[in-house]
Amino acid sequence: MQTSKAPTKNSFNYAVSITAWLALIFLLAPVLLTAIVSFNSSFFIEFPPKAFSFKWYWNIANIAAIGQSTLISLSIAFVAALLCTTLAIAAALAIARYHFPGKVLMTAFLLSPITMPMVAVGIALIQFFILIGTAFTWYSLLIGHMVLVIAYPIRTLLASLTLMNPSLEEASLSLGASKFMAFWTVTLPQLKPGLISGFLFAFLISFDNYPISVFLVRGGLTTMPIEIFNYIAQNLDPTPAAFSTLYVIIVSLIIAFAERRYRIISYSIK
Amino acid sequence: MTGLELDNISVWLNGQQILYDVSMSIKKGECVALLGPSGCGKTTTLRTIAGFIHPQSGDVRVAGKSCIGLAPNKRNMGLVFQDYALFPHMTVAQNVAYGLRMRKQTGPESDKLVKQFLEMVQLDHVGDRLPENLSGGQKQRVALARALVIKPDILLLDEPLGALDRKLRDQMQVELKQLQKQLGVTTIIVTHDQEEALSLADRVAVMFSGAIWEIGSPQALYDMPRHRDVMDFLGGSNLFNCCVTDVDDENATLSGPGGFQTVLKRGDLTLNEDVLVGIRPEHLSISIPNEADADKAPTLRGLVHETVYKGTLMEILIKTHDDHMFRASVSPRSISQAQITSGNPISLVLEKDYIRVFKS
Amino acid sequence: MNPHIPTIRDPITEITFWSRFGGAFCLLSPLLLFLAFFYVVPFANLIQESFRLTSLDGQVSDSLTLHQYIKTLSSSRIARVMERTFSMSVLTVVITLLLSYPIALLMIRIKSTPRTIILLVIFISLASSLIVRNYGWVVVLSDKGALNAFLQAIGLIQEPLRMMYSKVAIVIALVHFSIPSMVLPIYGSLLRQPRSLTEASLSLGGNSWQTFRKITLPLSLPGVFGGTVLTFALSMSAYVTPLMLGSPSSSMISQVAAEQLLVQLNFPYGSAIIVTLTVLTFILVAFYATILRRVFRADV
Repeated sequence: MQTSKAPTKNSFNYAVSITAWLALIFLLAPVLLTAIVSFNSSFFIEFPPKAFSFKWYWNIANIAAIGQSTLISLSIAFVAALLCTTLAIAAALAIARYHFPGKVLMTAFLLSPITMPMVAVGIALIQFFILIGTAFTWYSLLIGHMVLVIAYPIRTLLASLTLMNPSLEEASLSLGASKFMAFWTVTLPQLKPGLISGFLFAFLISFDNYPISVFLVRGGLTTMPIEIFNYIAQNLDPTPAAFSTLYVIIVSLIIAFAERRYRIISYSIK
Repeated sequence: MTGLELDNISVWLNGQQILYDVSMSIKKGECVALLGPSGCGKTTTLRTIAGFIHPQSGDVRVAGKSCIGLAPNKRNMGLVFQDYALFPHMTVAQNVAYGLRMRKQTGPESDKLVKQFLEMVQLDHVGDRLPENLSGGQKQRVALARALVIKPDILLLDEPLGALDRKLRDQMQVELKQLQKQLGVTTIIVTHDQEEALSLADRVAVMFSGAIWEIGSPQALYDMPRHRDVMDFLGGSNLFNCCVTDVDDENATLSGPGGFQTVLKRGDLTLNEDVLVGIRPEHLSISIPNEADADKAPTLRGLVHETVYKGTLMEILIKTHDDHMFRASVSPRSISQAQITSGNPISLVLEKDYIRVFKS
Repeated sequence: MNPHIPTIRDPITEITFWSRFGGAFCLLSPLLLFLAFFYVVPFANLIQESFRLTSLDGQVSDSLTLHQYIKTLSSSRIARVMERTFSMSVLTVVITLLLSYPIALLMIRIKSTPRTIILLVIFISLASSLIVRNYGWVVVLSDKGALNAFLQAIGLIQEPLRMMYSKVAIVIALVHFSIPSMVLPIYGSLLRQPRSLTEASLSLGGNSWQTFRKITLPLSLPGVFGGTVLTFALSMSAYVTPLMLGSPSSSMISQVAAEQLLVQLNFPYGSAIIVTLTVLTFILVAFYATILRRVFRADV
């Protein structure tokens, strides 16, 4: 990594620094201001805050179907991330370690779900599920989310595999390991950052998704983003602010932990 | 008894032929160096022996048995990679034990074996360290121990000393040679560094463009190479054109630049033939023109062009009147400053025994 | 041994397709099967659906027709929404780039602890729920929100500015959403530039601006391309953001398509709209890549 001493002070560098810091403030501002609102006792969103209160946090429990929808979102996200990461390991191995005709096309195809409009995916899937008669089930929702997130672990694992020293696998083979043992004892441990970050991204993206879920759910089957969205549309109080703040704190903790333990961030920026 | 035999190995990669009928026979316990410039196919040969490349034709035999169809993990060869390829997530001891583990040898006996080999490379005190906390020299020794602990039939080393600094390299050269002789394992070293090859190997095979050009003991190859490219690659050389100016039944006279003339055994030289003559810089010595040239030692005459002081030697560049440049390596103590002032006339005496003649 | 006559033999291809690709085939087949069934087939179905008609009672006809596409391409409303979506996306990309590149440059220059903190902020932004982030802008841009309160407090305005439910709010939120995915590719490609290049330029007499324009920027174009394409694609297909922060007069194309499906239950028409959007985005991205390649001789 290139670290440098202080760059020369001139107008260009000055302008760059100022813009950068302003942009970072721009990035953080909504989150921080939302947090302020969440502790504000007044009913409407207003500044400056009047009095400190926790009540909107307690009110989260009153959001319609919040418990059930969160449960569904959690289970879908977890299973989708798990299954997709497993499928992704196999696919990434195939792409990174074998040369076959049409490899580039295949890779582009496997990564394409990211660039598809989510509404398109949602529409395509609900029509398809209606056609085969499994619409509005937990499994169809799972499948929809798997299509949504599969590209993320593939991307992170491909990056990990290409960064890995190829001699390591050859060394293990020369020492007597079968292809599977070489994968299990040498390759897989090397892939930990890619695996963890792929799983995390898949989980978070699935958990948060609205456009695909909204087409695939009905009645008792609902997801947390949908219920939050409905609440925002129908209510003016700052309960969503409390929810948002809680959400950001939890996500921050998860990511900070993953970075600490598995160094996913410093590993993926190479 | 043969340790390893290569029989007409030809390899194509990506539609290009990389190895052309490479053949070699290595005795058990012998250490052979594959020496050549980058791209000559030496690493390809090594990887073919190890089983990572499948040759289009030819055979690889270990102790008489062909291993062509065998996967790399079934060949019982110890491979030391150029970048050592130590498993970063395992400790030194776990790295060394890996091969034993793959052979289902675990438990106190294998632990003892691991310790024994770590002691052999003087690293028994770092068994619990991770590779990232080792120096380059230490990593190399761990890689060696890891390859040797499995008692391989063949030891394959890819540029083993390339990444080490001068002092460490000299030290490791000795240690490596001792280890190899002590264990008696058939060894192949791939290198582009001729000093490494000459100092480590019992025999050196020089490769260019996918084929072995010459194979022989380091001394034979260095003093009496049969190809000018081999001479040029193995060390400094002065190569210049000469003409056969006189022949009789036994001898031929060669004449060349700077007034060079010598009489050698004729061999198959013919009158007026153009040949290439080679002599190494260290086989040229200095004498100044106004000394008696009574002896028949072949001499070149010219002017001192440039001198380079290199500590143990002095390199002198001499230009003959017909614009030929020669390089001589002499001990700084054998000459005086006055002799080698730029522009001084100077004579070079060639050691007759080391003059090599190559047909054009 | 005369090495000057190499023997050329025909390579014996004993290596079959299976022995070479068999492993890859086995590894890829589960995923390929999954995607074939749940990705390719649904989309193929979507496309064929877009070639159908719905009669007034909701029944889909059996014959294939271009009717929906003609309807899409000739509808002035669709054209307006398309054009609006396009201009908002371009605006988003430009503003995001102008804000993200300096962040990436800053990250290259500062020490590792502040850099890690910034990286964490960016990753957390990336991982935060879209609804959460958009709601944050509701907090900021509402009539009684933070920005209005601030502007009124410093006396810049008397009455609160109407910012919510407008194109402005959508673009601001889209920019906010896109900054992380623009910063990371640019940062990645800046990291790959050896510092010696900048130093060489400075020692040869170039100032910081020239060094940036002639050395740093051109070499970072692959990262810029990656970031801008992603931002553009995401903005063109934006759904949640305009839904939360926009109004019917600022609707974007995904909303129109979704409306046809969820409200009007006109599946063929909605499908045609969404297919048109996808194809259009794809063409624009390919066009953009070609320009970058030809004009800037970039390695994209």
